[in-house]
Amino acid sequence: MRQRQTQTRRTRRGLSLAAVGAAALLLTGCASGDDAPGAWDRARTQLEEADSVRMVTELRSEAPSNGRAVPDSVDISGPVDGSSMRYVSVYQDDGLITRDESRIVDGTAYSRFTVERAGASGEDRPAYVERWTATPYESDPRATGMGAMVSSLLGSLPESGGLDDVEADADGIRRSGQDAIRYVLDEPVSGPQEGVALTAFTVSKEDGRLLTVETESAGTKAVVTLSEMGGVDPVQAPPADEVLKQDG
Amino acid sequence: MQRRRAVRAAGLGVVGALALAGCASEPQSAGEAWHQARTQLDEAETVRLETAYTTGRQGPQSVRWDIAGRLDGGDAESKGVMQVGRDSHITMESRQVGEDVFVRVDVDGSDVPDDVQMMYSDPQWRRVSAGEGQEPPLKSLLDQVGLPAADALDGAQVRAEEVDWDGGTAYRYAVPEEVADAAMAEGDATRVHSFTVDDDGELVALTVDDGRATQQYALSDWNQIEPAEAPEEVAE
Repeated sequence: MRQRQTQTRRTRRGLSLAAVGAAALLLTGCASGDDAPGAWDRARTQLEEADSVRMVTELRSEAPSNGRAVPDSVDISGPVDGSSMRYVSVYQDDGLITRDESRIVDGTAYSRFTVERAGASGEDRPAYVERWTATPYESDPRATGMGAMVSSLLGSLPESGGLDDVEADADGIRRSGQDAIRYVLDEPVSGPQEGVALTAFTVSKEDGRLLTVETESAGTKAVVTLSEMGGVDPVQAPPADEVLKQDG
Repeated sequence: MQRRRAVRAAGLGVVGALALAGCASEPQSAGEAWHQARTQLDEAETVRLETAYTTGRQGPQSVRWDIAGRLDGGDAESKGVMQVGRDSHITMESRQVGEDVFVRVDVDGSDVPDDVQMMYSDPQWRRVSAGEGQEPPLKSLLDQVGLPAADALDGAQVRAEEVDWDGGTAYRYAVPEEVADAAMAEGDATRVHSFTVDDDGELVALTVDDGRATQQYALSDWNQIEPAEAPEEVAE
């Protein structure tokens, strides 16, 4: 049975209280908010050094959409060298789940849409399935690949040392199937790029890996879940019989 | 309807026997299932067809259609809903009553684009001349499908795949390519990719393939659709 351990501790300044906190940590195996700056720096460094990763961003937006649907989630994964990448954005609308899928493999970009009707088909058997459209992928993978996505994420978040003077609460939780610590910042902290602010992050209790970052910007809240760090399976091209044949 | 009741009654008898014997019911063979499904399509008077797809590569804009009416192309109601924003939609409704066709377009939501809002600011029913087709009509949609003959899957080595369907269980049968190809006649635009039947053998979905995409037509309310009625108020 899943055991949820929630022991929130207010950040406390001062040597004696820190010592008490450290003793408590040893006794209970829980973190305190004092760990937030170090946990952030370690987690950030691990992400910077990963050679592949998967990022799932869930969005809650109130910002103007200009008539366009806004994805509820965006799932991208691949090696950071940009040699390949998998992208799936999901749009949910009153019983319809639309997926916009792309794969970049061996210099070719494959893309398609699928539509699932809730209760009448299933994720593995959508009600509408386009054949994949294949086009040469001519963009610079360093500018548009997974590495660029990771750089963009990190660039919008506080740098190493950026949380040194920040107070936070720490909760022991289960996240991504493992024991984890969620740090909730007392105040959102912006990175070098103004406009996006970190509100909370979660790290693995076992190895300190970054599991989620939670951000807010104008009208939009996002939770980015990171996984498969250094372990993303190679991206495969779709089966040939699922690819639209080119005219001529 | 009588045929369906007869099938159900027969089915209940079989299920009862199996329950006593402690066995689960086996799905029909593909040949038997298609024979029943094709007969149902040929003999039914009315049905509801629901389908969904997406348009364009920017957005994307998902569209759902709910069309209910006569299979011979007579009275029908249709409703199409297209997403045009985070929580905004255009709804296109039509009613075909005898020779008259009535249509109405409405928009709702908090982020409807201004140009769309202006274009459809007057959501009243209007009469349009016949043939101005405002919706994918039931008959023409199904007429475009190259339907295999009732006995076309007899002996076909196709296994029933158990699938979840509207909270219950149904069986999906893939139609062999050679059977689907052989069924295509002049004017047919889509071939049958698969069909799905429920526990009673009632056809609940046809999935068709137009070469660019496969699209599912969910079928329900067989012979239970009331005739469409003209709107009470129609703008002149």
